[in-house]
Amino acid sequence: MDPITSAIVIIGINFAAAAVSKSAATKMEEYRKVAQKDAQKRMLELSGAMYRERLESDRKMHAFVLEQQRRGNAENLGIIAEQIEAYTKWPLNVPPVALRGSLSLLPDEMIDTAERQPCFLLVAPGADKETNKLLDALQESVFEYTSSYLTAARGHNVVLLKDCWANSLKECGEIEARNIHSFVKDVPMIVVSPYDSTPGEVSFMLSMWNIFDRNAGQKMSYSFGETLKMKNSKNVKALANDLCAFVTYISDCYGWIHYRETPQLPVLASRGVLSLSEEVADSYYGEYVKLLGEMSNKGLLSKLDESDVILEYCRAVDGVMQRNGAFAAAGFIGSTKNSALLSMPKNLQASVWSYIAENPIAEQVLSGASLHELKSECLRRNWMKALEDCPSVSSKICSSGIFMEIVKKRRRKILLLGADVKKQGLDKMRAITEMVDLRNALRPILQAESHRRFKSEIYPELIYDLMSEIVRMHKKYVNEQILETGKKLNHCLLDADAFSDVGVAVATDIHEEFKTSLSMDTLKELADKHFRIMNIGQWVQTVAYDWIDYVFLGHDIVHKDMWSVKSQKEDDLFYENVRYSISYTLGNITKELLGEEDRYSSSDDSRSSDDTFFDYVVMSPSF
Amino acid sequence: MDELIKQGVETNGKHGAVPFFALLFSAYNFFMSLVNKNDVSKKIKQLKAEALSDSFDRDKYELELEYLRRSYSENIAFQVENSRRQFANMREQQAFKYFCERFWQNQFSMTINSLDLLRAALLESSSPDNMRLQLLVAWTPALQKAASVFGMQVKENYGRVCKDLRDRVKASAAGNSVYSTSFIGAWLQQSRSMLSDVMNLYYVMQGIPSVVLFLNECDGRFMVDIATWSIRTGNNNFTVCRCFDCKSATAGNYADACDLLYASASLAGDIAKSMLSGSPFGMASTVDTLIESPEIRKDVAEAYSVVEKTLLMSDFKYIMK
Repeated sequence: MDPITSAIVIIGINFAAAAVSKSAATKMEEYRKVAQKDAQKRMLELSGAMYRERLESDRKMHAFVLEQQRRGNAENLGIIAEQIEAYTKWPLNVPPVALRGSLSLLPDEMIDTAERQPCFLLVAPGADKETNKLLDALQESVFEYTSSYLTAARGHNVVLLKDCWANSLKECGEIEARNIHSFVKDVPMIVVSPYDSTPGEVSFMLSMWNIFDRNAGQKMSYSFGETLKMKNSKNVKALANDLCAFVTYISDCYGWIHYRETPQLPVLASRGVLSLSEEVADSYYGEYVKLLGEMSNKGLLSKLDESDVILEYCRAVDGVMQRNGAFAAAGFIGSTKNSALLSMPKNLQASVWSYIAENPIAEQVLSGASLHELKSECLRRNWMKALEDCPSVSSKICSSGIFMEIVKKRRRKILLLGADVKKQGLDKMRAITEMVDLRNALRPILQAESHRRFKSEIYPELIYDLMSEIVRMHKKYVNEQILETGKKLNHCLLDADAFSDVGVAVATDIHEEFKTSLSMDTLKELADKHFRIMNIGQWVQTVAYDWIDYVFLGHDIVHKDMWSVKSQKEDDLFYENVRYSISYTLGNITKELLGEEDRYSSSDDSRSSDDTFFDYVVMSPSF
Repeated sequence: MDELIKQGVETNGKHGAVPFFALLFSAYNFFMSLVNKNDVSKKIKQLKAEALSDSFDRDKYELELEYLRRSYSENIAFQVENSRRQFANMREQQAFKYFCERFWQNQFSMTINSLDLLRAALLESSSPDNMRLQLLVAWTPALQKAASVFGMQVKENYGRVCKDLRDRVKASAAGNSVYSTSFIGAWLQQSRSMLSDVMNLYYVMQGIPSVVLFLNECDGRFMVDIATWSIRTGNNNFTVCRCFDCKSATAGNYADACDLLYASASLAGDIAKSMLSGSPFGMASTVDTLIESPEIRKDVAEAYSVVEKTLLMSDFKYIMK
């Protein structure tokens, strides 16, 4: 190719190449422009949407503000109405703010948020002029009752607003009750006023609010203008008694629904503080059973977590008022069907059966499938013979595996302390203060401090003292026996007189030291009963176990009867098994307790003997 | 092949190597421009695909929208809560104003703010041993009746009873009293009803441990109702209860009224002190000298022995140390 042709070809090729490149660049440029325009368009669309959204929000906000202003105006009118009407229509000498107990005056550090709100009771003049005349005397009686038995210190706090009705000429009807309610909606309150009287019967108008939970059974959280009829007319004391019983029942419902407090009415009725006719008692009992059943059926109770308080409830109600086959525990179980009981967790079954053991009338619950279950359990544990031989419910429980569950549950309870100790402390203080009213009055001042001390100081002292005493007595006896008879430590059997002396001495000491509700006679009876069939070690353990039951669980001992059911000769296997269960568990309990409370022990030499004692308890071949 | 190369080299050698390489270079350029064009098409396709899948501005928009909505709803909630609290505060202020105007300022002499100092002191002190109870005596009709023997003005009579009790409490304590008597004569006018006075006082004095004595008459004799509330147990925790039963205090007798009030204060103070700090009954020993009526002295001594017995029998001995 000559140079000219080459040059032309080269130029041609380069030109073509430039053209191709230019077309690519143009294409890219065009694309960029289009893309940029697209992006701008999209941004505009999005911004437009955003502005529309903002505009919409602003409109809604403006509408809301205007609505708020309208509502605010209504609120303001309400406040003005409240302000003016409070001056003219508030019928009490106590202002709403004091009833509401506003906390605004107290520093935050002084507020106990877990406190219980009291229930206020107002007995005001009503439409029945005749009964109005008795109102002062009626108030005086009811006040005496509430200030003695339904106080903050006792956990059932009902405050009678005695003489607080400002204008004695004014009647308290349903309108007045509603007026009061409008000022103190959140305060639990019962308003009672005489409404009508016929020979032999007095009617009261009853209004109450914030007492019952809306979910609890059929009861509403408020009610106005209901009629409460009482059969005793003109007799102030009888009338006061009936009114007090009713108020206590309402207070029980309130305490139970909101705070899971044990009912007081059955207790006070059994102590003779309130007198209830059989008919009235039955109707109240039916209500208690119904309340528990309804709450249980509606799933408002946690059977597992609250089994203790529920059984306390059953204990209080069944123990005193049970008459005609109704059974509060059945409400707890859900129904009388045994399958419900069997489907419960083992530890809950243990609670229920321990309860049933204390209430033989409840044996009806243990029929059919439950017995079958018990028998299977006993067969599995090779205790069938014991079951067949033991007719009573407690024996059935003792001979089943459930017995160990009961023991374990108690052990857990003992170790957990907390609520039980507090409750015991309260109960004891309650019992004591009944003796002197003044102390009841001073209780609020003492309550917080004494609880703290009871828990941190007295409880360990109590345990340590008890155990030291038992160990001391045991050691003394063993030493004497070793010296005198030379018998081996764990096989030393007593002669009746020697044991009786020691046993009674221990019983006396324990009684003097701790002032238990177990009487001296009971302790002596225990001693006499036990010395015939056991050696000293076992007796001491039994007393200790009974005592621990009493101290921590506050009720008589479930398994107490089993010692009298069988003698050693009649059923060695059963006897050995149960003895072993108790002694082993007791040994562990005491070990752990003393182990935990070491810091409280003094430096005397009894510590060294403790270990020996507990080793003996646990390891003794005689168990 | 060798011949062809040879011929090419020769040709190049003949016409020069430059045009040949220039030709080659141009061809290369052309080829590359074609490749580039292809690449640009690919790049544009890729950019289009990327633009399609790029959700940044959409996401940003969504985020802003979400913020807008949340901000709106939180604003609404804040406004609702704000006005709710404002109205609740207004109601509470209104109720408190009503309380002050109608139930406090005409009935009790101390100002509400004067109690702040006591609350602050209690808050700082952790030991119950040093706790002093506020002692108050209510101006009841029974007290009024008893003091009227002096024929003075009613307000002065009430003041006289309070002064008498304050002097006795101070004499008994020798500077180490369980009581503070700062507010002992707190009533400006006669008590309308015990419960309402207790509740109104309690509303203001809650948190400050106090003992309030109400002298009443029943069946021709005096009796004392006692109201207490505690330290740090919060709201709604007061008790009203009848004090010990004194059979020998004749209604209307001024000396008996003073004796009985002092006896009640003495018992309440001693029990509280012994339970809280384990100290012995300090005021009991002064009963003989400070109570004039022998019958009341006897009743008080009996009450003391019952209390002592109960204390010793009870678990409180552990508290008493």
